Amino acid sequence: MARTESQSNDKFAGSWFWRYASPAAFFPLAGKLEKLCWALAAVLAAVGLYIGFFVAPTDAQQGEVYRVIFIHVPAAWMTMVIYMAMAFWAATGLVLGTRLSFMMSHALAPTGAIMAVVALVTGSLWGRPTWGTYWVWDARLTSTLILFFLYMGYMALAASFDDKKKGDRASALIALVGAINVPIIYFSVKWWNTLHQGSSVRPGSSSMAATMLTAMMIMTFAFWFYCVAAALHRLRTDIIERERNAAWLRDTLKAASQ
Amino acid sequence: MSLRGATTAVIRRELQLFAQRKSDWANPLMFFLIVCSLFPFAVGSESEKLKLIGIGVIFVGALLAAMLSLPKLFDEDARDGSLELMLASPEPLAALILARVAALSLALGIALSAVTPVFALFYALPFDVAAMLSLNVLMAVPTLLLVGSIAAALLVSARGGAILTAVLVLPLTIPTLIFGAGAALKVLYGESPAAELALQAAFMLLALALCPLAAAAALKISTD
Amino acid sequence: MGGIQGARSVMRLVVEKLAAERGGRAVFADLSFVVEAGTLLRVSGANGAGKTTLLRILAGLAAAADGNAAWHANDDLVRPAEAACFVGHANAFNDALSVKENLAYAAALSGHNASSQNISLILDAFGMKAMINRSFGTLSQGQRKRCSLARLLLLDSDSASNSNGRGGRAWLLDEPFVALDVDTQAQLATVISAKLVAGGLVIYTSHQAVDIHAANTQEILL
Repeated sequence: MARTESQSNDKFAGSWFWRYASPAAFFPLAGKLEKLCWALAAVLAAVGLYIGFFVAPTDAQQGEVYRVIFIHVPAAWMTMVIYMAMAFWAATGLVLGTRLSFMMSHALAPTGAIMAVVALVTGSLWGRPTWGTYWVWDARLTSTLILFFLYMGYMALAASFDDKKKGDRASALIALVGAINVPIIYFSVKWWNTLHQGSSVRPGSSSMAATMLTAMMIMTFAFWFYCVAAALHRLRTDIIERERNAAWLRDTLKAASQ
Repeated sequence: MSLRGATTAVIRRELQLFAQRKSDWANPLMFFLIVCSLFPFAVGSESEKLKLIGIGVIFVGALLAAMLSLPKLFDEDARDGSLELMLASPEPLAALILARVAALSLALGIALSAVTPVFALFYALPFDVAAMLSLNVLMAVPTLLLVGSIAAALLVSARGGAILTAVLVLPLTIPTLIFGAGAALKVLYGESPAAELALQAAFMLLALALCPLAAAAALKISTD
Repeated sequence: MGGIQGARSVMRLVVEKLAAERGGRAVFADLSFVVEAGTLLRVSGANGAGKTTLLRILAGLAAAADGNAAWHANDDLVRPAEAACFVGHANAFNDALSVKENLAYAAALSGHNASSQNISLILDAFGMKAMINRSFGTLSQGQRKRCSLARLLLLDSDSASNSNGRGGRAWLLDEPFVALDVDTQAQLATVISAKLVAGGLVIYTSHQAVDIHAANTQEILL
């Protein structure tokens, strides 16, 4: 704690960034943000799913099956966005030495991995009626699978250090290495895919009616808020675990329970 | 000048160790041989079938064999304390790591690519395909070891380090795998492998520029 | 080039409010002291008090949690890698290589060019000349320790051959007397005394009290 506070003496002094770079200051704010994000995610998901499942028309080619895109596409987007966010916080942590940045990275990883799994499962459920098989080595599905491996590697590495500080910095480094590799892997897989098989119908690739697009956009925001809420929740748990002996935490928790 | 002295010393020591301990290069080769000969038992021995999977099997086998050598980069030195000589050296750590990876790549890359054509015979691959495969193994081993040096540095003497190294490194080697095996496939189909070779070389140069710096940072993190 | 000059000049160590952590727990904190050239500093303390951690921080091998430790050579700031020479618990010799190969490697890494002649001269001083081409793994524990001592002198030999009364790099010795027989202990004590007389700076950790002849001594208890 002392370190984070002493850093606030430099050129960033007084700016909001350093103020909230301390877990003690961020903890209550994170609590408020978390509640707000849960609420927004729930409302948007209800609206988005309603439009997606009841208002949007049946697809001419794919029938009702296409409706999986309202889950699949946002999840596939989120898994990419979260990896980049994770790498961003990892870089911030390595450069500025702020513990909260590392914790932010750790908090995002499981959600990113879950999004990858959701995208993969919904993708293969969609693939069964469309392609006649649960799995096709489609470029986008394959990249998502590799991204899932990168998430798992990151989490396994973070967990393999007894010294949390070391684990923070080590996993941050591997997140950065992964982030540099993600575009290379993505384009390699795309190249490989076009080389080995013709492009096939993909979820969300056909032209869409306006209501479909609306539903997908709303669902994307719902996923976005869900991910932020889940990450903040995990972050608060991590703060409680790491700072369990700190006086400020006891005071905050006592005040909250009253 | 002393940077040259230090890097030369690192390379010389690595090669001396290779000369002393035949198992350091003999074991990866044996592993490579055994992995390559397992597949026909699983898929059947028809030469048409083998020809189709041969390139992939050999390339993956070579990558796995090279990966088995990654703990060798830093683990033994961490155990006997020599790693501290490297860490406490006034010369840049990234340069010393690069020298070490270069020596390992040289020894292992040449050994693995030298036996690749032999394994290509097992899979009924024509000679030009075997030669292209051999060249790509030679180019892929340094890339793999450079990327792998980051993970090896992070996991110096960690428990379960070897398996976690594989989990971290293998996904990152997919581009190398795609274009390395792709070049040989192109030759098999009678097309030009120029694009694949160029990309393969580009990956190696990119790894050469970035990985030693990352590995140096990683080693400082894990030994702190 | 500053490094080479630094190695031949008067060393001074200034430690200010140094704190160390291990596994997230504080080991020591608020440690301040100054060590001048020609001084022998003994670091003592119970197991786990952070003796090795302190030496590793001074050698630049570990990061301090707070505060700083600065090496000065003739009032110029120098990097720990150029200012100090650390000998830890492990011997830092590879078992498969010969004594000579190991020593040449260590010298080259620390920026020296050790000639074979120099290596055999120093090994001779420790009665180890016959072992020069033996692989390190075949040596006895006592012989291994003497090899580490030979390495210390070898890394100092640049400044010794240019002897202008300067002490060369500071020595950071972690439990150097452990597992040494009586003769070798005395030999090490003599080597350290000579280093101090030449204006060198030696910091060591030790459980046991060892008789080292030194004009200026300091002690810190962690």
